[in-house]
Amino acid sequence: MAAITEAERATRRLPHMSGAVARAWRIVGHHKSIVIGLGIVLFVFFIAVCAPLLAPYSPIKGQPLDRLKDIGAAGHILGADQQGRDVLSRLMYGARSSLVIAVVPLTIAGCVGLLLGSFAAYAGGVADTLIMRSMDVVFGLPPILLAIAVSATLGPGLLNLVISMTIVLLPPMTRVTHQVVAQLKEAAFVEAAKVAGASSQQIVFGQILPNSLAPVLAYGTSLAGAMVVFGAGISFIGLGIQPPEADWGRMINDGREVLDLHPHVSTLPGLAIFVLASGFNFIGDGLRDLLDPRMRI
Amino acid sequence: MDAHVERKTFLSVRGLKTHFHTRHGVAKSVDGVDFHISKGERLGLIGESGSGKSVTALSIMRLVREPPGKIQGEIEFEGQDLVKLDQTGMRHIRGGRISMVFQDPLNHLDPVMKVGDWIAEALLLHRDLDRKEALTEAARMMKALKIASPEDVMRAYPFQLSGGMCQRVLIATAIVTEPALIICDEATSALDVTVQASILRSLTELTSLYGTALLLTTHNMLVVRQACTRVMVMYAGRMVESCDTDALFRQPMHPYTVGLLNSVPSLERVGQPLVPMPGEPPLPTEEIRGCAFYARCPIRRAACQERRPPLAEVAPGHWSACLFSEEARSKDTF
Repeated sequence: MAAITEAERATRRLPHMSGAVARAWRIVGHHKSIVIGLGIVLFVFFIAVCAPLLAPYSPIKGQPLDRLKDIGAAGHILGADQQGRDVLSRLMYGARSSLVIAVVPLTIAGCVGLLLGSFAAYAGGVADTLIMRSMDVVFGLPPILLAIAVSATLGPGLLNLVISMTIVLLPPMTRVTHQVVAQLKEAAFVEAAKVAGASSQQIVFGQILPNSLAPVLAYGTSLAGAMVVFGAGISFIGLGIQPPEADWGRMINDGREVLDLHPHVSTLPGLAIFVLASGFNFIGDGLRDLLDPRMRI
Repeated sequence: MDAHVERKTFLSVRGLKTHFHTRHGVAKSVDGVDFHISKGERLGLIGESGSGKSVTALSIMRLVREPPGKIQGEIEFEGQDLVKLDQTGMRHIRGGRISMVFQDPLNHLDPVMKVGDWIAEALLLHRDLDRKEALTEAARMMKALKIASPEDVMRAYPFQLSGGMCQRVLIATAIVTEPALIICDEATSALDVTVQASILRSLTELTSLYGTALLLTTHNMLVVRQACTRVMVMYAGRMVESCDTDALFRQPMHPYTVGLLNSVPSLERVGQPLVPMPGEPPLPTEEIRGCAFYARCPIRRAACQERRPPLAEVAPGHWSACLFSEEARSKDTF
C-alpha cells in the first residue's frame, strides 16, 4: 500500500464531517442571529419552568437578616432586596410572567388578527372597511396610554395585563395580515390556482394562509421583544403584576428607593429584561432575513 | 363551414364582446369576435399589446373581473354557454376541461409548495385519486415533457428552478387533467428563443398525443408559424384576418398582417430592410368609426371610413376584414 499523505487523509475524513454535524453547523453559521436568539429565549424558558427546582430561596418570603445584601454575599450570589428576598430566586420566578407577557398576548392577537385581517382583505367591500377602520381607531391611540387605560379599568393582575396587551397588539397584527393577504390576493399563483379550478375556500387555505403565515410570524416575533419591555413598564407603574409576586418590572420599582447605595436590586432585573428582549429581537431579525427572497441560498 | 368541421367543433365563440366600464369611458377590449376550435386543433391568436387577444383568452375562462368588466355574446363549450355558467360550473371547466398557461411562469407557481405537490393538487381538484396516485401521474406527465430526473424536480420549490423548467411544470399542470383545450397566453414570451422552441415542440407533441386543442395567444409571428395550424389576427378588439398558417405567411390578405410580416426578420427576405409600421393602434376607449386600421393603412380609401369592414371570405378558408384585400395581398404595399 502506498503511503497516504496527511492531506489525503484529511479529504477522506471530510465525508464524515459532511454528515449531520456539519450540516447543523452550516445552518447555525447561516442563521447566527436566530440561533443566538433561540438560545437566549429557551434558556429563560428553562429557568422559568424549573424555577421551583433551581431557585435557592422562596421568591416571596424574605429573611430580615439578609436585607440589602450585595452581589456575591454568602448565600446570596446576586444579593438580596430591602425585605431580604434573594434576588436570584426572584429573577428566576420573574421570568415566568415576562415570558407569558411576551408570548401569550402576541399569540392570541396574532391568531385573531390573522383571521380578521385575511377575512377583511379577501372579502373586500363593506366588511373590509368596517374591520380595518375600527382597527384604525384603536391604532390611533398611543399603545402605552391604551394599555394603561385598559389595565386601570380592568384592575391589576397578570390576566388583565394579558388582556390589555392583546387589545394593544390586535390592530398592528390585523393590519400586517391585511396587507400581506391583499398582496397575495393579486399574486399570479393565486390566479393560477383559480385557473386550475380551485374554489375561494381552497385558495384561502391552500395558498393564502400558508404564504401569509411566515411574514406575519416574523413580524409578530419582532414585536415580542418590545412586549417584554412594555409589560415590565406596566408592572413598573403598578398596574400589572402585584406584590409580593416576583416580576422584573415590579422588581425595578422595588429597587428604586435604594438605587444610589444598592443599585443591584434594580439593575439586575433591568438587565434580565434587556437580555430576554434582545433574544426575541434576534429571532425576529433572523426570521426577517430568512424570509427575504434575496437572502435565499 | 362544412358538416365535417361542424361535428368536431367543441368551442364556438359567437359575437364575444368584453367591455370594461372605467372612469375614462368604456374600454371595448374585445368588440365582436367569432371563432371556433375543433378537436386537436392548434389555433394561434396574434396581435399587438392591447389588441384584445389576452382578454379574449381570459373571457373564455371567465377570469375577467366583473365589474368593471362585462362579457356579452356566446361562448359555447361542449354544449354549455360559458357566459351564462355559474361559478361552481366554471370551477369544473377551469383546469378540468380548459387549462391555461401564462407568461411569467415563476410567479404562477406557489412559492411555498413543492412543484410536484402543485401538479398533484391541480389533478386532485378534478379527479378522484389519492395523493400517491396523483403524484405518480404528475411524475408521468413530467417524463412525457422530457424533464430530466423528474423526481428531483418534483421535490424542488419554484425558486430553485429555471424559468423554462417552471414553464414546463405549468404545462404539466395544465395537461395532467387531460383537458379538451389548453390556452397559452403569451406562454413563451418570457423565455429565451432556444427554450421557447423546445417548449413549443413538447407542447405540440403532447397536445397531438392527447388530442388536446391549443389556443396560443402571442405577438410573435414565429411562434405561430412553429406551433399553429390555423391563425387569427386581432386588431383593436376584432379579428382582421383568419386562415391557415401557411396561407397567412404565403399570402396575407389584410394590410395589417402584411405590415406585421414586413416588420419581422425572415430567412426568406434576407437582405431586404425591415419595414416598421407607422403609428399606433387606437386606444380601447376610442370611438371607432370605419376601419380601425385606417390611420396606419397604406392603401386606405374614402370608403374605409364609412363603416367597419366585416370579416369576409376572400379565398376558400381565408377570411379578411379589408375592403381591398386583393390589393393588400401584393406584398409591395409597404
